[in-house]
Amino acid sequence: MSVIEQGGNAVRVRPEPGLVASAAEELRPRLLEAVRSGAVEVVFDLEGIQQIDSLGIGLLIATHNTVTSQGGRVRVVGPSPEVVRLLRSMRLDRHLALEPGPDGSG
Amino acid sequence: MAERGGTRRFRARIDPDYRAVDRVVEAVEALLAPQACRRVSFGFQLALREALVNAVRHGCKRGGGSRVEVEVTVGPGKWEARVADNGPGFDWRPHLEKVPVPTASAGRGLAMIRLYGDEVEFNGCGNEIRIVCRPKPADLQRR
Repeated sequence: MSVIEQGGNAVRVRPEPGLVASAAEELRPRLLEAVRSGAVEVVFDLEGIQQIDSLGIGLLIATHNTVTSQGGRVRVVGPSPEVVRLLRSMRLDRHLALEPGPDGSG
Repeated sequence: MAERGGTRRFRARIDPDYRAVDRVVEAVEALLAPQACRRVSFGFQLALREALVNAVRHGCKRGGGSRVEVEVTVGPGKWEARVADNGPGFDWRPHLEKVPVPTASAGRGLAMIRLYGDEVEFNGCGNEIRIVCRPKPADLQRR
């Protein structure tokens, strides 16, 4: 099951089994609630995660759009080289703060 | 799961549920493990997952279909996935060449399949997709 930890105005999200449809379905309402309650920094922890799909990316972008419109930001921490390459191919590196892990290609 | 002449095959019929998609991709990952480097394995699994998610979301949840069939064949130089649902299909032609808008929260699934699939084909009514990846020999010698 995915994990959401909220501390102050920051939220850390750990999607399981990855940034994929099953996790997005479960996380969407919980994230929305966290952002509505005042979170201005959302951290997607993708360290060690190899599974990603368009609905997972959709959640990432929807969160980014909502949070930045409120003056906040979204960080993507620890993505693998493959995930970084995919996000770059989709031109998302221009909009998201990507912070690759130790084996990242960033 | 079956193996014949160095070619491994996986077949399943799943309910329209995203957790069932996770289980299929996990099973196919085990099929690829002995021979695949991480980059090509990632690409094939992603294209397969995307096809399954599309079938669940558009073919079943929105289109009224009730089941998804998947068949994956992994040979030495050709990995093939076929995903079909019993929904009404869609007109895939205008979507094939679409470039997704980076800040849009939807509309990038087919672009992601095309990014990793060497061949991508739909049947006429759009409720079945075939994806082929052709890993090079060097891709199969390292993890």
